[in-house]
Amino acid sequence: MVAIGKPHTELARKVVDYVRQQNMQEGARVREQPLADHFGVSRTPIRGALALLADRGLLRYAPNQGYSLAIAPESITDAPVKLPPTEEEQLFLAVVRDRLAHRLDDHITVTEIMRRYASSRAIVSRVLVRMGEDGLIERGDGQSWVFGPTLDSLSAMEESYRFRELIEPSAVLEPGFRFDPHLFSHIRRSHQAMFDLGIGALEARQIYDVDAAFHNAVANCCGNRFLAQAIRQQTTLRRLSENTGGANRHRLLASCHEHLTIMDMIEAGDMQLASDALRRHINAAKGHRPRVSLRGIPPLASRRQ
Amino acid sequence: MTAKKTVAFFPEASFGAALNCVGIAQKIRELGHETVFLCDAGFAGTFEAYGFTEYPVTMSPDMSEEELEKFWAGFIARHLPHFRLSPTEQLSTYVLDCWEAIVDSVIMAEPDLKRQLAAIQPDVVCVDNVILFPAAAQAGCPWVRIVSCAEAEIPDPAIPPLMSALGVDDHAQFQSFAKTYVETVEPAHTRFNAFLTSIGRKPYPAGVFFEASPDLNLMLYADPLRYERKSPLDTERFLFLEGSVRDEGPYSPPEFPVHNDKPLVYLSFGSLGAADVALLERMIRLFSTLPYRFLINVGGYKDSYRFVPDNVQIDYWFPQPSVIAQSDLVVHHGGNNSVHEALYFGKPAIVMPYCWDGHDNARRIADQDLGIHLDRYEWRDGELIEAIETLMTDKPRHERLAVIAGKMQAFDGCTRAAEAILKCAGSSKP
Repeated sequence: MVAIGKPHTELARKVVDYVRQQNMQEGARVREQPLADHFGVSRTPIRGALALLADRGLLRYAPNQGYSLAIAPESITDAPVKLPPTEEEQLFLAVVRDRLAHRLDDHITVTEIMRRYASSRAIVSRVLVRMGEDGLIERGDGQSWVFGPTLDSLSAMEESYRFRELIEPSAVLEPGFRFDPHLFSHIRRSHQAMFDLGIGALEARQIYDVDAAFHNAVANCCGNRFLAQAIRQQTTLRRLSENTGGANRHRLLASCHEHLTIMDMIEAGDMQLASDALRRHINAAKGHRPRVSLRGIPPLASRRQ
Repeated sequence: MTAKKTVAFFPEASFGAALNCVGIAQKIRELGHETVFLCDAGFAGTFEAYGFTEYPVTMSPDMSEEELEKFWAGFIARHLPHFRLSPTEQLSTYVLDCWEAIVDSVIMAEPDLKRQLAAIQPDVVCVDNVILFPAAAQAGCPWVRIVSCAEAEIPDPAIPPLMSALGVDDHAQFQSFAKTYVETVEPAHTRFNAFLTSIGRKPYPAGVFFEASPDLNLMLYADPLRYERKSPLDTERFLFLEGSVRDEGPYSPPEFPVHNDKPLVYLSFGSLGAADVALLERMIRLFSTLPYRFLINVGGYKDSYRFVPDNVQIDYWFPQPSVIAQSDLVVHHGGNNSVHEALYFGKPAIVMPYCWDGHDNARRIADQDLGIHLDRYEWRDGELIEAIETLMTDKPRHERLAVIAGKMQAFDGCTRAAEAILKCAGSSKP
C-alpha cells in the first residue's frame, strides 16, 4: 500500500497530544526531525502541522531557530486547540457517518464516492487509503472497496466487547508492560478537567476523547505490538461509532471514574487487580442493555402453552 | 438535612416504568439519600448505568442467549398480527397472555424479593408496576405505588376502562368493555388470587390485580390529560406529578447528509413496537420524500435496516428526553413516558398505539387536541404527511403546548415525588 501523507490538522492534533504528554514547558523547542521520527512520517507534513499550530498561536516561529512552544501545556488542556477539518477529514467523517448509519452498501467504488460527496478522485483515494489503515475498508474485486466490520449494530458491539474482554485485561499483564508516568499524569488531568465541567456542560466528544486516551494508553504501555494494534483499532472503531450512536452519558462518566481506579492499580503495580478491574469495566459497559421487557415478554406463559 | 433514608425502587421490567423511576430516584439521590433498585436479572445494568446499586430479583426463567433469541422470534411472530386488532380483540389474543406471564413473575419473584428487601432494610419501597408483589407491600416499611400507566389504572366510574381506547363520552360502552375484560383475564386472575390466598392475603375482586397504597400513590398524568372523576382521589394519599422527566444530559443531533436546517422529528414506538420492522421500513420510505430530519429508535433491530435515507438516522437507543427537547414533532406509541416527555417539552405528537394503555393515551391526546391519533396500520401516505404538516405548522397549538410545558416544568414532578417519598419514608413503620 502506498503511504500517503495525512491531513495536517490530524497530525497537528497528534503533535498537541505529544507536547502535552512530554510535559514540555513554555519556550521549549519543538523540532521537526524528532517529531517526524516519532510519527514515522517525513518532515514535510510535520512542517505543515507546525505551521498550522503556529497560526493558532500554540507555537512561535523564529527564523533560523524554528518552532517553540508559545504557551504553557496546562493552557493547552484548558483551552483545546480548535483546528478546522480539512476536506479529506470532512470526507472521511462523512463516509464513516453514512456507513454507520446504514446509508452505504457493503461494497463501494471510488466513482460512487466521488459522485455522492462531490469530491475529487485524489481526495477520495487518500481517504480510502486512510480508512484502510484504520481497518475500516479494504480493496475488493475490480474497482470496488469492501467495508470491514464496524460497530454499526448491537451484535457487532457485543462481539467487540467480548473481543476487548480478551485483549485489554491481557495487555495489562504482559511482561513488557511499562507504566508511563507522563502519559498517565496527562490522562488524569484530562479526566479531572472533564469531571470539573460537570455532566450538564460536557460535550459527548469530550467524554469519548478521554475514554479513547485511556484505552490507547493501555495499548501504548503494554509492550506487545500486536495487542497494541488490536486495542488501538477497537478504540478507533468505538471512537467513530460513538460520534453518531446513542450512549448513556451517566454510564460514560461512571466509566471514566473507573479509568482512574484502574490507573491507581497500575501505578501501584497491582497488575492482576488492574487486569480484573479492566475486565469488569468492559463488562459493565456491555451489560447495561436490558434483555427483557415484562409486558412484552411472557416467557413462562409461552412455555406453559 | 434529615437522617439519611434508604429508598428501594422496584419498577416493572419495562423501559417506561424503569426510566420514570430513574427520574425520581435521581432527585432523591440529589437530596442526599440512598437509592437502590430491585429488578429482574434480565434488566440488570439499566439502573447501574445511571449510577444506582441494583439488587437482582429472579422473576423470569434463566435463558441462554440462544433460547432468548428463539423466544423473542416466536413471541414477535405470534403477537405482531395482534397489534393490528381492536382493543377488545387484543384482550384474548395479547392481554391475557401478558397477564399470565405477569402473574407468573409475581409468584416467581416473591421469595427472592422478600430476601433482598430483608437485606436492604429500606425505609420505603416504591413500586411502579401493574400488579401487587406482596413482598414489596409487606417489607416492614411504608410503600409507594407509582402509577406510570394511564390514569385509568386507578379506576373510576367516570373514566373509560384501561386499555379500552374509549373516550369520556362513550359512557354506554364502559360496562360492556369492562365485562369482556374481566371475563377474558379470568384464568390469570384466578391463579393470582390463589397465590394471594396461599400466602395469607385477601383475594382481589374480579379483574383487579393491584390496589392503591395506604401510604402514598404517585400519578404521572398531567393536568391537561386528567379526567374528572366521580369520586375524587384523596389528596393526602394521591399526588399527581405533572410528569416526571429524567435528566439525560445535553444531546446534539447528528449531522445529516441533507436537510440540516430543516425541522427534526423523533420517532419511537418503544422497545416492543420497534419489532415491527416492516412498518418502520414503510414509514422510512415515506420519510425519505419529506423535507424534514428524522431520528428513529429502532431498538434491537438496527441490523435489519439497509439503505437508510439521507434525512433519516436510526439507532438502537436515544436519550429520549434530551432528544425530544430538541425535536419539533414526536411520533410515538402512546407510552406514558413518551406522552409526558412530549408535553413536558411542549412538542406536538402523532400517537400510533398498538397495545395496553397506549390506546387510552392516544385517544386522550386526540380528545384534548394535543396531538393526532393515527391508526398504526390503516393510514395512507397522504394522511401521515398531512398529520406531520398540520402539527408542524399549527401555531395556536404550539402556543398552547408551550404554556403546558411551562407549567409542567415549573411543577417539577420529580422533585415533588422525591419529597413525598422521603416524607413517607419518615413516617412510622407499620
